[in-house]
Amino acid sequence: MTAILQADHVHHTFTAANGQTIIALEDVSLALSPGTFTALIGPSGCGKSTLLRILAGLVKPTSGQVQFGGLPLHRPQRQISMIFQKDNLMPWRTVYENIELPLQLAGVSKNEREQRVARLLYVTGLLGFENQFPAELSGGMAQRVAIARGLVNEPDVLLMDEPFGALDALTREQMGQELLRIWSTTQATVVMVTHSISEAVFLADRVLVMSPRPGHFIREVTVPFTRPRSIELLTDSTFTLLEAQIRAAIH
Amino acid sequence: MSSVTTTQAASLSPQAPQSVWRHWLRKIEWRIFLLPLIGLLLWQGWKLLAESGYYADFIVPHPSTVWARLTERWADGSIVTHVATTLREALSGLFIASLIATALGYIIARVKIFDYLLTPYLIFLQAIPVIAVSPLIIIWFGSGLASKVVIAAMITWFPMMIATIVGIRNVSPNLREMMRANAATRWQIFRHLEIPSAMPELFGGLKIAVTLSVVGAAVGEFVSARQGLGYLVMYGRGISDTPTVVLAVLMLTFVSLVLYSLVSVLEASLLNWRKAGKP
Ligand SMILES: Nc1ncnc2c1ncn2[C@@H]1O[C@H](COP(=O)(O)OP(=O)(O)OP(=O)(O)O)[C@@H](O)[C@H]1O
Ligand SMILES: [Mg+2]
Repeated sequence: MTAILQADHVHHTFTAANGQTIIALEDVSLALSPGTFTALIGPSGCGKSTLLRILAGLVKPTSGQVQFGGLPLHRPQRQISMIFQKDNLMPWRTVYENIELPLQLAGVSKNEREQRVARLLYVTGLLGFENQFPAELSGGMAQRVAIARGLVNEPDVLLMDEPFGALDALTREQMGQELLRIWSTTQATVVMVTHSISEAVFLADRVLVMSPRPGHFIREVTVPFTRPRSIELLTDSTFTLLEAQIRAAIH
Repeated sequence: MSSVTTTQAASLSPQAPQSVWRHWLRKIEWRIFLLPLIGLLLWQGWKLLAESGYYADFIVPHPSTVWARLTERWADGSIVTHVATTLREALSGLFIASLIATALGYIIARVKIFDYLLTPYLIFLQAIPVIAVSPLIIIWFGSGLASKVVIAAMITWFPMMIATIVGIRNVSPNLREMMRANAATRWQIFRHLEIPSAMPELFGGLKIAVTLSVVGAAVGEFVSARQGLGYLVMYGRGISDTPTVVLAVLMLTFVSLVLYSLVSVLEASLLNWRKAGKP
């Protein structure tokens, strides 16, 4: 299978305000096959967000190339959608209008927008809250709105930067399961950054482990479990073995 | 599943029945019931002062004399002309100033080099006391509508520009990045992010500017005019008719109040989202 999104020998260097140069990414190569779920895990500050921004076309890497559908990626594309660590909702738009935004920007007709938003309200369990403003939502609900907004234009690639970072452990588990359920209704290729090893193993087809800065991949773990996956998997012996492997690679 | 419509969903909206009551109770402006009382107190206080005998009628005119002037001028329609004149001058000035100031503020907020080069001169411009140069403006633009519009614009552009700069600078960088990630065009970012995000600040500026615009028009009319409420003040003074002066001042206040209230009502209806999530 040819990769839908691919990074070749990507390096990225930041120049801090005091003139100091920070090497964030060092020789990162990555190929994403269509329809796969990849988890990205690594210590804080190792360049995960930077890599995601590069894959989204938001940041041009210092050197190296990113290809999307076989073509060089120079700027953000509508078929690549990004869910940020913070929900990044517009406080003046209702839940409905926030989810609608990407469709509006893409010039989708009002009728079609209505149908697609309604479907996502349904799958994210937000029905009945569409006229609420973000300030009236719980953290988990706001995050679900952000996820719905990321999915509404049916992207080919979904990049998620710790989408559950702000949630408590319980909600996080629930949201993970919901995400899998929602994802199973799409054909999207997913890259998800997370700090949680069990979350990575539970959700992904493969887990990529990054080194401390300058970030590069030090380990790739393939997750063999079939889908749909249930919560009992968390206590499975193979599952805990994979977890231990990843933990060992990080430390 | 995909046939779920928004109207169906709206009926599921989570709102407890008794909170509907509270909602309406909160919506009523209770303060309004105080208004007649305050009005009566002021009127009686003024009357007492005028009738006390300490002050001559041309210093503190009796409220009934002022009322008489109003009814006279209402009957011959002249008060409407004066109000309309001042209103036209103030609003034209505010409109022109808003166009220029928001455009300027926007480029200053978005383009560093403009900020660096232009801002010192704009502050210099603002430092010129408008009231002191108003005779010059009359000399240059005549004693008709144009000069008043210019003065009203000169007095209102600065708060509008500052409001725009602050509003645009306050746009969340995270939301900017989110818009860029959605491949939004410059225009879309302007239309769907920058404008709505800067609205609260813009309304703050507009509330200051709208009352200042009336001051600007009146200042112009003080210097030279043939009609308008500022002209009426000077006319009353000229013929030593203090009640007319008081009437004109009250009308100026009234015009400012009405304009301010209109802006407030518009703000409340456009920015209703700001009440969300607050008890
Ligand atoms: N705009 C920037 N300017 C300068 N340095 C930056 C910038 N953005 C990131 N960095 C640096 O690059 C490194 C990688 O940052 P990045 O945000 O990608 O880390 P991360 O892996 O996402 O960390 P975390 O898990 O804490 O979110 C960090 O050391 C950070 O200091
Ligand atoms: Mg990060």
